[in-house]
Amino acid sequence: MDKLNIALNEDKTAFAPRETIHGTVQWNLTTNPRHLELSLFWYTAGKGTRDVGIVQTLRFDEPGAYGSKDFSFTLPDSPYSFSGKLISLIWALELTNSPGSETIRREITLSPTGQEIVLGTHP
Amino acid sequence: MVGMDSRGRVDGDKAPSVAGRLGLSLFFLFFFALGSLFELFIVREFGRAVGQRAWRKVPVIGVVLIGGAVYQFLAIFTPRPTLELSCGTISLGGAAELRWRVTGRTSRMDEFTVTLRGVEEAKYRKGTSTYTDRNTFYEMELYRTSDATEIASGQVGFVLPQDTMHSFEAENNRILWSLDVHGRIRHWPDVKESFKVTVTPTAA
Repeated sequence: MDKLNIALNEDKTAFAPRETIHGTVQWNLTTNPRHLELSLFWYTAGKGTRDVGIVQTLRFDEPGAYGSKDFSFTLPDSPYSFSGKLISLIWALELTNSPGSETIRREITLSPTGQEIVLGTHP
Repeated sequence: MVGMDSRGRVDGDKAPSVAGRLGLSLFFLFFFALGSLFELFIVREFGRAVGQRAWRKVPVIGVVLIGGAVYQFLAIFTPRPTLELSCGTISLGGAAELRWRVTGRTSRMDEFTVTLRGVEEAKYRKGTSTYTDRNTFYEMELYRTSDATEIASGQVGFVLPQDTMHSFEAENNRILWSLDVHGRIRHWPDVKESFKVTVTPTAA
């Protein structure tokens, strides 16, 4: 197994606004971390300087060198995942250990349509 | 761009003001006068040869400055629009009614249009400068008329599309929606006002 892992129930990665994400974090490290942190956040990519919005963070203290824990997050109603000509907005879950530099990120989609909103260019 | 209040109304007075336009006219005139004085100084102090090189540039700059001053002064007398939405915010897929009133000499307007527009706006830095790029991803003409009565006041209902992005504002990246009013007036500055609209996610 990779040192850190985020598994989503039924491997579901697309969510509607206000839906709850259920999953399990798993870790297998060479040393005991003080804590693990699982964050739900969005970030922008593209032409503009990156913006980040951290929505919620779960902290697991003294988790031991290996193990697993279930988690759940209730998503807000916005912002939607979208991709435009200049800007994309991406939602993700990220697990990190402290101390240490291990990290794993899992991208998800928040949208009423089940897919990211695509913005074109009006001619 | 001017934002709508919680009642969905924006008065024309909150748009670029008469005082602002008068200030811009005086600003252009001031720099025209300054440039003219500078040219006179160059000719007198450094002789005709040097003055002639500067003198050739002054008419071009002077025309631009005078033109700017005249344009801003004329714009003071341009008709002013006020918009009122039936609600302060509109959800994706939601409907709204827009009313407008244009004060001033609307009989001079050849054509009046109201357009709903969605724009991506991305801010970034290159070296020490900051740039903002924009992309229009949605545009819908809500109303177009050449009738003076309809230009003076009117209303139109519209429905926002469902499958697009709501308003979003972060420090560097934004999705902005606006109602853009354009009134074409021959031989006069056009009416151009933009009113920010808040579009919320699809109602639950």
